Amino acid sequence: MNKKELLKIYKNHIIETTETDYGETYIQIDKNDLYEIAAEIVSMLNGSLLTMFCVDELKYAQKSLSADKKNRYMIYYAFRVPGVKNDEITKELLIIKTGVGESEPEINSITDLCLSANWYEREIFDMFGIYPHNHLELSGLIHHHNFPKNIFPMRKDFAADTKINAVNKIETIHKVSGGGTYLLPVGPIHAGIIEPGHFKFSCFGEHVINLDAQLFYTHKGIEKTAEGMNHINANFISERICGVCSLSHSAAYTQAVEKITGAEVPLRARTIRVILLELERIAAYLTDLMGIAVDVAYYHASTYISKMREDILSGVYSVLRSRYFRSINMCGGLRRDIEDKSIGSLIETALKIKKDLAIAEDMLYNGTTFLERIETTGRLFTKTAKSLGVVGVGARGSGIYCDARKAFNYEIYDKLDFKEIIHDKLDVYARMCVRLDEIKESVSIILQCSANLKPGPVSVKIDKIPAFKPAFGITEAPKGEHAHFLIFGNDSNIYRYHIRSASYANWLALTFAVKGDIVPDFPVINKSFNLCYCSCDR
Amino acid sequence: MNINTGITGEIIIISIIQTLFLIAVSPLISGIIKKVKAVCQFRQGPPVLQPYYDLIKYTKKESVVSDTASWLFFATPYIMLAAFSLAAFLIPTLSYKYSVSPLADIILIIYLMALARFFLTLAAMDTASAFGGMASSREMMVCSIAEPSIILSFISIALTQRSTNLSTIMSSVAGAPNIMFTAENLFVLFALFLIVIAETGRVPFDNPATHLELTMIHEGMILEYCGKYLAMINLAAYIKQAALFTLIINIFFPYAMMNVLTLNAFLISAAAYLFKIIIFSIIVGVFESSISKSRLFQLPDLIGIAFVLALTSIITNIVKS
Repeated sequence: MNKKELLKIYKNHIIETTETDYGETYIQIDKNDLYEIAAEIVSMLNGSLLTMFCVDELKYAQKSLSADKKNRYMIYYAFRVPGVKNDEITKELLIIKTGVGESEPEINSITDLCLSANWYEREIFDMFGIYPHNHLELSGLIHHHNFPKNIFPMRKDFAADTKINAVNKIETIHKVSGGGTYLLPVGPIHAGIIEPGHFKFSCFGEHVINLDAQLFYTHKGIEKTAEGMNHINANFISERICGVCSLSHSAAYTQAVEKITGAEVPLRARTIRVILLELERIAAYLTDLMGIAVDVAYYHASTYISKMREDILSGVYSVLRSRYFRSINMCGGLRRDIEDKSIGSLIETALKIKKDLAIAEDMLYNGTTFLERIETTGRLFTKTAKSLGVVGVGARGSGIYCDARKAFNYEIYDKLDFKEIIHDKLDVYARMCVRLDEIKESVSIILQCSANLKPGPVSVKIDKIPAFKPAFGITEAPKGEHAHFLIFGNDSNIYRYHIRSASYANWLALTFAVKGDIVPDFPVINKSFNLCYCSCDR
Repeated sequence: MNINTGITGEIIIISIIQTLFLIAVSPLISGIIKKVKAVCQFRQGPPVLQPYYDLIKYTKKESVVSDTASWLFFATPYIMLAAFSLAAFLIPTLSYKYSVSPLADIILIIYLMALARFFLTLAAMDTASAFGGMASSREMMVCSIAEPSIILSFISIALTQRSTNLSTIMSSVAGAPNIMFTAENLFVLFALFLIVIAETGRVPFDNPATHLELTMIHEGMILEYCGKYLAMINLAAYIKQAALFTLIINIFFPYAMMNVLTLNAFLISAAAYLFKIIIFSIIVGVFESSISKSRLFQLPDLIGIAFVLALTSIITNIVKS
C-alpha cells in the first residue's frame, strides 16, 4: 500500500488535506479516528514516528477552527513513510493532525503502536495538559515531582515570565525488589563536567536489571522564548540549542524557514553549508570516539583522537572566528561569503584528518584489550531500535537505514556520491565502526563539494513569510536526525517552534541497551550513544 | 621466652631511616608513573612532584564528613597509614643486613596489608554511599583471588630459598645472582607483577585516573574522604605501592644494597634503590598505557593467570627437588 491508497480508503474520515510543494502532506482527522489511522500508517505503510507535538491555536485569529475552542489544541503526528522510490532509504513526511477541545483535553495514546510516542505524549501532558488515554507509563517527564499541578507552560495563555514555586513532594522511584537486588542512584550531579541527569539503576549484583533515567533538569524554555521572535533572531537561538550540533540545529531551522518562504538558496551557500556540516560531524564523531576510548582507560588512542578534533575546531576557528560553527548560517543562505583561500584551509584540515584517521583506526582496531571491552557490550537489538524510533549512529549501528541526508535529500546531498553506513553487530563496537566509516565518507563529501564550488551569491533576501504555513526542517546531525517544526503567525513572527533533537529520540534506547550488561560497562555504552542533555532541555 | 633475633640498636635506627626513606620516595613513584603515561599519550603531563603538592594541598583543606559516619570512618585512615608503614618497616629497602625483618616474615606483611583493606572496605560502606558499597564488594572480589596468588608466589620463593624471611631470601639471592633467573622464579616474577598491578589498583584492574564512579574500585572506596583524611589515605596507598614494588625489586634484584655501616654505602644503596624503582615505575607506566581496562568479570581470569603461574612454579620446584 502507498500513501495515496491509504488516503483514498480513509477519504471519509479526513477533514482536510494539505499537500505542500516540499514533500509534506498534512491530513486533519477527528481525534476518534486517530488511533485507527495511526495504526494503518505504522503497519500498512511501514511508517515510523518522526515526532509528535502540540500547537495551541488560541491566537490563530483568521482561521475559524479555534473560534469555538473546540479544536484549540492541534496535535501533530509526523510519520516518515517510504517515498516515491519505495525503498528502505528515501522517506517522505506524512503528518496527521487532530484537534483537541479545551473542555475535554484528552487523546488516545499510540504508545502501544510505537513506543517512541512515549516521551512525546508525556511531554504534551506536562506542557499542554492533554491527557493520553492508555499510556503505558504516564509520569512526569519534563516536570519532576516538585512541579506544581495544573500549570502548563506551553499554553498560549501562560506568560513566559510567570514565577513557579516548587511543591514539597517526595519522589517516587520504580524499584525492583527481591533478594540481592538493590537500587543504585547516580547523579543528577556527576563527577565529570557533564550536564545533570539522574540515573536510577536497579541491579542484581553487578548486572543492570532496569535503568530509569530522569533528565530535564535545566529546562531553558527555548521553544517558548522563540514564540513571537522574528526569523532572524530565532536563528541565533537555534544555534544555541546544543553546542555539539549548533550548525545542524541552525540548518534545520533555516531549512524550515526556507521551505515556508520558498526561498531559493544559492548553490554556493548550500555547498559551503554542506562542507561546514560535514566538518561539524567529523569533529563530533571524534569526540565520541575519544569518549569511548577514555571510558575503558585506553588513553593512548583517546588523546590522539582529541588532538585530531582540536585540529578541526581550531581550523574552523581561524576561518569562522567561532569554534562551534556559529554566526555563519542564516535564513536564505550565509551571513557572509567565505573566500576560496579559507575554504582551501578547511579542505587541508579535512585531508589531514583523513591521514591521521588511518593511525587512529590502527590504534582502535588493533587494541585487543580495547576491542574485548567494546565487543558485545551494550547491544541494541534492531527490533527494539525500530520500535523506539532510534535515529543516527545508534540506529545505524543496529542495522537500520535512517540517514536524513539520504532520506530527505536536503541542501545538495542528492547530488553527492556517498554511502550510508550501517552495521549489524548492534554493540558499542558497531557504533564505533559506523562513526569511523562515516568520517571517511564525510571527508569524501567535503572534497566533492570543494571541487564543485563556483563563485556566486551566498544569500537571498527573505521578505514575506506566509502566516500559518507549517514546515519541517530535518537535518542529519552528528547525534542523529534533528527535526524542527515551524509555524509563523500573521505578524511574520514565530507562532510555534518545536524542536525534536536526535538525543530526545535516542535516550530511551540507552536504557534498553544497558539491560543485561554490568554496571561498570554503563559509561562506555553511554558514550557510544553520546546523548545530549541540553538539546532535550529546550 | 628469650628469642635472640640479633636485633641491635643500630639495626633499629637504620630500619627507621630506610622506612622514612621509602615513605618519602613513595609519592614520587606515582608521579613518575603519571609522567610516563602522559608521555605515552602525547601529553606533557603534571610535574613528577605533583603527588607531593596534592598531599600538602589536601592537608590544608577542610574535612567534610557525612553525619552518619561512625568511628570506623575516622579510624580507617590512621589504621591504613599505620599498617602500611609497619609493613614498610619490615621490608628491607636499602639494606637486608641491617633490617628488622628477622622479626617477622612475609606472611605478616601480606596480612598487614589485608588488615588495612578490611578496614577500608568497612569504612567505604560506613557512610552508606551507593558507590562505597559497590566498590567494597568489587575490592573483595579482586582480593579474594589476589591473596591466595600472592601467598602461593611466596611459598614458591620460600621453597627455593628455604625461608619465608625477607632478609634471608635477599641475602641468599645477592650471594648467588643467577639463582632468580630460573624458570620457576621467572614464573613467580610475572605472577607477582600481575598481583602488584592488581593490588595497587592500576589498569587493567582499576583506573586510578577515572572520574566515572560506576567503574571505580579503589577510588570508589575513598570517594567520601576529603581533606586531611584523604591525604592520609593517599599517602597510605603510595606507601603500599612503594612497599610492593620494593618487594619485587629487592627479592629479584637485591644488588648494591648497604652491607657496611658507612655514609658512602648508604648513599650508594639509596641511589641504586632509586634507579631500580624508577625503572620499575617506567615499566609499569608503559604497561598501563599499552592496554585498556578489563571488563570487571574478567579480572578474576587475569589474576587467575598469576595464580596458575605461581602454582606452576611450585610444581616445577617440587619436581626439580
